[in-house]
Amino acid sequence: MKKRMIILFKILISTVILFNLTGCWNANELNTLPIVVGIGIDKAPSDEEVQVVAQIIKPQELQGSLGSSDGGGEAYWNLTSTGETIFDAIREMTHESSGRLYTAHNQIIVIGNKIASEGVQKYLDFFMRAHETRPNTLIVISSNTSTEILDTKPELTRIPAESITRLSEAQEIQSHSKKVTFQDFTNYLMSKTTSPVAPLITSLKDKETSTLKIEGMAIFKGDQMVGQLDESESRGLLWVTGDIKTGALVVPYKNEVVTLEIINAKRKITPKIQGDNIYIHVEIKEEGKIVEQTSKENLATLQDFEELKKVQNEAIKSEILSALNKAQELNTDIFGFGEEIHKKYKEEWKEISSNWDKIFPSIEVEIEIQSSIDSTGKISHPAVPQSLE
Amino acid sequence: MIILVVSIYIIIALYQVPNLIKRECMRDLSAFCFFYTIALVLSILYVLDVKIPSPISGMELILDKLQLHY
Amino acid sequence: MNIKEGKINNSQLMFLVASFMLGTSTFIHFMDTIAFHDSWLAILTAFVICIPFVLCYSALAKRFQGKDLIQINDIIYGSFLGKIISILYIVYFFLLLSLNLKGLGDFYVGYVMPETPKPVFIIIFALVCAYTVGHGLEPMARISHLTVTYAIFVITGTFLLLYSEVDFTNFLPIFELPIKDFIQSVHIVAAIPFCEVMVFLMVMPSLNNFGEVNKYMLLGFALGALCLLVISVRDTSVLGTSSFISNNAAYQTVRIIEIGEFFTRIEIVVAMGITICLFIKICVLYYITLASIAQLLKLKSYKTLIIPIGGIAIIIAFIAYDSIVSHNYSAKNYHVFYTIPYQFIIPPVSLLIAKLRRLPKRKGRELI
Repeated sequence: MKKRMIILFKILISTVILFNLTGCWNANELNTLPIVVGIGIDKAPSDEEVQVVAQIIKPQELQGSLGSSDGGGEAYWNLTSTGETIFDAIREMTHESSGRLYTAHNQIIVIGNKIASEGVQKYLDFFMRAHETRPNTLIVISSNTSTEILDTKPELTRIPAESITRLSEAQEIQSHSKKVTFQDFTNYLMSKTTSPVAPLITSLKDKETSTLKIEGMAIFKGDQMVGQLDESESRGLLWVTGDIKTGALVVPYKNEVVTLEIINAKRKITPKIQGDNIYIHVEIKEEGKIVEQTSKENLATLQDFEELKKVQNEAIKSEILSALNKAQELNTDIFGFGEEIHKKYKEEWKEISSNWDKIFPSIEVEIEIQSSIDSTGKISHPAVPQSLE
Repeated sequence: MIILVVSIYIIIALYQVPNLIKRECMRDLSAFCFFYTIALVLSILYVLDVKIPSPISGMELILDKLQLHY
Repeated sequence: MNIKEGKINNSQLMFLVASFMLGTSTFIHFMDTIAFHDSWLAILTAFVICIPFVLCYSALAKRFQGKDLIQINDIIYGSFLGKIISILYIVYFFLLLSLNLKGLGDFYVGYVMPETPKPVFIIIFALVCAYTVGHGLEPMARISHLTVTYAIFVITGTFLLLYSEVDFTNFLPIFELPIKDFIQSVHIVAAIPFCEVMVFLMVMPSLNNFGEVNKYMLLGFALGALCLLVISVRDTSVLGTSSFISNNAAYQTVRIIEIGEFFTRIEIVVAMGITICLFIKICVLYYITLASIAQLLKLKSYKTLIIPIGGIAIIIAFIAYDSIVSHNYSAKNYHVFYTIPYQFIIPPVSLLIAKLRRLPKRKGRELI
């Protein structure tokens, strides 16, 4: 009797559980989920509110072959909405989309120019708090509005957000801009002295085609954009921050030019306080190789290599100086010199950090470059008739 | 909701109390009844949205009086 | 009379201690808002400070072989004062149980499934723990091997995967904190994850061999502390300053892992680790609360109380704090002082009195 009761009880419990635990509260079915791959933030036309563009992929359109962009519709849908805050605007979108936007696969946040110059921190707060957004999301600044960037139909991929992501990763080959993730940007914002930077992206529009281009980097003071670095200035910044991967250096040599490829670069920053003066010593070790020469002379000689090294040093130095001048002109410590001082001189730091705006523009930076040239590629002499002297 | 909570408690009691009576452990039975009543009352109050004072706030009050906090 | 069932051996105790400490790893991140990049230093200092206390706990257990905390209190302080101290201890165990249940709910709602109501997690988790506790101490002790192995695997694995992101200059400048903040953070680490192992005074009586209890207790403690240290070092070195504003830096750190665009989003592995370590911790606390109440009331078995105590603990977990902010505030300002007598005063005093009065006395084969 008792045994039967227990069995009955167990069956009852199992039945109850069966109906309760079959699904998950937060279940999201893939086919009903609007997957957001890119988010753009702009000022709304009314100027009081913020306008958010969410780029949602249309899976059914993605099924065709990648190249045939003219067949069928676009593979993405840009959903725009305005609100007082970001979250407000994103939730407003549910009036138009078929479900709650799923932002866990968001790859990129494009910030419009107006927002950037007004101050980005208050707009990024939501993304730091939200549980779905990831620290690896990239941040780019649009030279115009973010809508324009996310509307530019790419040639090689079918989704603009994806093409921007690839673009900013491909940039590493030339080292004219570095990719800035959400994580990096948060750390920038939390530093007392370091000025944030982020890649700057523009949309080049022709009559028919339009392409996206990353040109240089945007400089922030605090959280407001105050200027921009052009390509060689950006490389100057990257030399100091140690983010150089590869890139081409075109140097003049004996009335002609030689192109050197950067193979390897390391940097070391040493701050020094002597009395009231603060020095920053930047030491750069670079390794390059000759990839192209225009002169008909053989440059693979010991003297030429020595000379070329000097020219290479000068070229690197001038890139760094151009970035430094720009930074000191705008009074923005994009190199993180302040943090380097903080790490070495913690006692003096309190005073220095409160006066940093006065100190930085006149800070003395010593640049020491040790470069070497490793090889000449597959050939040593240029392909010209050789004399048999 | 309250019916659910009460019925769950009744089922538990029906399962445990006869066991205890059969084994003749009156001490265990009274302890069970004591804690069981507290749990039942607390659950009903919680379900009825009555504000139950947290024991933590009492602890904080005492430490405040003793000036023992950062 | 023996209300405790099952025996555990020394290595199981070691893993149980380590696993118990790892369960706290998610709850001490608020320390980062005080200690910033010097957290590792605070953990190290707290570790050194806590070693004598941990040895004191195990010495107490060794001296009173087979007697648990409640019985020890009775022997040392007499039946009246001893009972009062025991009741205070029971309240402390009970609060720990409730707060850890609440912490689990907070973690799940905050990071894993944000739209599910918190009571769902707390109740289901408490039910699983109740089931485990119903089977006694042995299953927990056996599973702790697995949880510690898993935790170590996850910690080292994530560290290796994040190796390219690690930047040790994030720790510079060393020791920038004001001394008061440093003391507070050391105190937090000592009181919340480290000296909570005091609760093992209720578990150690179930050991089958007391010969090397000091050694294994210390080993388990060191293992747990090492894991917590590595977690802290990993988070600060990877996240830099942004780890200080994060509510759960470990989770955020692992989100950064991205290898070849497909080996990514593995934070659920960490969530699993946190869950199973918390499972051990809550089970141990649950068992200890029940065992101490049963011992105090001289019941035949603690198992009759599983459901009522669990029910009260769940309700207390719901009502304990209004918000996560008040939880963190209270934990770092009040809780650390609340635990002082339980962890740092009563056990050493008990040991001292026992030494002076040459307790326990023997009467035949019984200790009294």
